[in-house]
Amino acid sequence: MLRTGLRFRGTLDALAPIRKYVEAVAQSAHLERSAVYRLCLAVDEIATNIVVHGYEEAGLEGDLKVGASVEGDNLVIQLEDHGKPYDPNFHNVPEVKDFSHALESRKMGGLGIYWHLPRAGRSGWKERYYATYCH
Amino acid sequence: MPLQMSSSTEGKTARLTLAGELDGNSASSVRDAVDYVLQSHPERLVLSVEKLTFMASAGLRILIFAKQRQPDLKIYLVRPQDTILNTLHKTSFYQSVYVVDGESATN
Repeated sequence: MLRTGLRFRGTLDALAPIRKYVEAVAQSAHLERSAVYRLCLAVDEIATNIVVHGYEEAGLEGDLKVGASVEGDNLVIQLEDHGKPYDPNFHNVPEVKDFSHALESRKMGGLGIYWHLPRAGRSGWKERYYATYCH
Repeated sequence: MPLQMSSSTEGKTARLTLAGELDGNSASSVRDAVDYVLQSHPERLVLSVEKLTFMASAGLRILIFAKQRQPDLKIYLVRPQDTILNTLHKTSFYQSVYVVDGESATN
């Protein structure tokens, strides 16, 4: 459970202030501009899914807590919610071959979680996105 | 910066100018605007995004929506920022839209 961090309402209008917080944290950790953007994008996608799938579609209301910490060479962003449980590992995530389809043939879903699956990072800060779901 | 948007249709070209941040909160208004301008069945949808500083997957879904609504539509992105260009590349959306430096290239 996150003991520190900022608390936001679990609504879509919290997305912008969440990004602003994460951007500030990432910049204070001296991440390069492109890495800041990728981090904000990943967090935004997770937060969006929490709001839409965890709360709105489930008919629930609640908060979204965002915490940040530096652990060694890692900047760790944690999100905590109390919405409907969800594990992206059991979701159909688009594969590279899906991206070869023409736009009019593509599926709408899955693009969001594509951005926050674990990926290899470059030298320096490790870009490793994972989600632990706290309820 | 909150999303700012303007739209217009001239002949066979529909135009949307987007500035600020396009996320799950602002996407519905953009989708509605796209839906509206496509009612006239334009040949081209020109998205001026030079001042669009953030685009979540919701923005990509709008592109899918536009093409599914009108498969023969040509979509142009005018001067996307490098971060958004990177998103388009990584999801192969770059292959399905025309990325141009200026609106004159959309004619």
